[in-house]
Amino acid sequence: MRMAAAFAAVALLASVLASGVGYVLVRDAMLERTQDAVVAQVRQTVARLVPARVPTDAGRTLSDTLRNALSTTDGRQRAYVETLPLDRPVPPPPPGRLHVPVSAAFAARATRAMVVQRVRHRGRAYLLVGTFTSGYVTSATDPQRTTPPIVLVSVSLDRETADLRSFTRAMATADAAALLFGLALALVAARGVLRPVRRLGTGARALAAGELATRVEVRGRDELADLARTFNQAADALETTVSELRVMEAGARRFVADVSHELRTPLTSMTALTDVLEEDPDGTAARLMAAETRRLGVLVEHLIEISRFDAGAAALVLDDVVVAAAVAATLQARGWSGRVAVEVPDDLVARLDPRRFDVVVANLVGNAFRHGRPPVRLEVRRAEREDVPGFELVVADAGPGIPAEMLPVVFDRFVKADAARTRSEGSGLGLAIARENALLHGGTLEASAGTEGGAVFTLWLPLAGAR
Amino acid sequence: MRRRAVAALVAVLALASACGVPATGITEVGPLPRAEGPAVNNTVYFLKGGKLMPVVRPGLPGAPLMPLRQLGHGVTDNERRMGFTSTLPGVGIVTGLPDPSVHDVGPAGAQTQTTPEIGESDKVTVALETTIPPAQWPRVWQAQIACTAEAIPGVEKVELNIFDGRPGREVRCADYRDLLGTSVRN
Repeated sequence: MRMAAAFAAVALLASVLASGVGYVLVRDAMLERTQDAVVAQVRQTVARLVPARVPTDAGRTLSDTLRNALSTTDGRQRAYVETLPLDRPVPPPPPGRLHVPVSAAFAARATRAMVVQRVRHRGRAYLLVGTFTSGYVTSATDPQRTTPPIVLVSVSLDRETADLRSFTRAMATADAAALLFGLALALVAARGVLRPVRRLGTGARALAAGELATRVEVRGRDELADLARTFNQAADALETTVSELRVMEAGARRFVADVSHELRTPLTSMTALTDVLEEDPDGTAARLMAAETRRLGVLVEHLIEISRFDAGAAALVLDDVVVAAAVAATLQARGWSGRVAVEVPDDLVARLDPRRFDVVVANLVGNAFRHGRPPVRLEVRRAEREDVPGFELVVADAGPGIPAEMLPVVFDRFVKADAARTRSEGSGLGLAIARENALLHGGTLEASAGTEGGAVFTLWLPLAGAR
Repeated sequence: MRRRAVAALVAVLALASACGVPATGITEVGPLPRAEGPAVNNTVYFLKGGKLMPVVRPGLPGAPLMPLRQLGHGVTDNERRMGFTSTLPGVGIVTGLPDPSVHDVGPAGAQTQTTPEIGESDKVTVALETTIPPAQWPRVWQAQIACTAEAIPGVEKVELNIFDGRPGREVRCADYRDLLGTSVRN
């Protein structure tokens, strides 16, 4: 509404200003034309009719001739012509001769130069023209008898006033039309602007109420369309973030549940074993107890590790590593040196965190021994991915392989290949930690089924370390 | 907002007050026009040393009877210094030729209507502001009128009258040849 009012005010101001300026210009031009015409006519008539040698005692005759020539029969123009008295001021014209009374100052100035004056009399406008003659010959001793007359002419400006009035009426009509047009335009424009704004407002409210799928329609190519597009992008980002948070929250809940479960299992065993331990003299229970305790220790270690990843606190300590030596060291440390068919290029050097690399390799090979069957192969070869130089480390076994439905979730936490086998030596976090380590290096870890059965894990790491 | 409204109102009022034809002061629009109308020569007869002498005076085109009227105004200072005199009383009425100047006063545009009877366009009638019958006017008066009238192109006959109901007296310049002197310019 305010916008429409402003529009209308601007339209009104502009049209009134324009018409006002136009009015003044037209009026001045019109009046000037009338005045010029009258002045020219008076000047020509006087010059044409007054001879340089004015006949003696012909003042009356000359005056009559001039008055006839300067008056119109319709009364629009009237003339007062009188022989100029040389010994006293010009007498004012008797009432009725001209339209308006003439001031003494005007008559006096008319004897020296051609003068005009616009006067208003009883609400009407008139033009006065006064003149005398120059260049006439008179006698020095008896000048009064050969002096030409003074000429005063009054012209009614009724016609001009009427023209101006009709012009004003036309202008007022045009102004009113402009105002209406401006108002209509303003309403249309306001609707055009306000509707998208209202839509945006509705969208924002819906978003605030939690309807994250809310989007507004983008129409046109103006700033408002831009705004709508930005709104939609913000809503997209918000929706993505919120759903990610929800997924993460669900994952965290499940993790906590899983952790509780995993911790309970060895604790249950340990409680049972403690009972047995009281009566068992040969120490089997004690050994089992020790094993369970180690398992619990590993689990807690893994939990700490994975929680570091979750908190983003895991840091890489990069070093130049000869891959062949690192792999050999890992296998030797675990006592697997002779049991794995290793194929690694001797000259492959990569920049990576040796401790984390060791964890990943040990996990993959350990899994192959635990869940698969020998022979276990470990193969390293150079491989570029997306133009980044790197290397692949493939661990394959000859076991039953991973069921197809398990492939997408094999890296999730506490996922067991055999659901029935709830108790295994692994913590259920090993692959998850291996994968987090690979990602930390800027690499990948994938699981697939081998061509001749068995599981194949492929680790890819960039040569230059994480960027 | 209010200030803007006031400004708009002031502007509208200023525009409204500028409507109509405003009055102005006295404005000069140039010098006086130069008198350059055509002049004609008239001949008027006055007395000099008791003799009738023609005097050439400037006249106005379209006013052929002006010399007869000028007779009644007498001589100018210049002419008097040169020895001219005139004893004619004022000339009252002059009729005969179409001449707007014979009607001094009267409303504008009335002249053509009162243009005298043009039936005898070669004859003019002159009346003096006197009650003396034309027959008793001094011969000099009659001679002045007759000769001045006959000097006007197109005038053949002159009638002296005082419009007292009696017929006028027709005269000719030739009747007063004895009064004529030699021509002089003023």
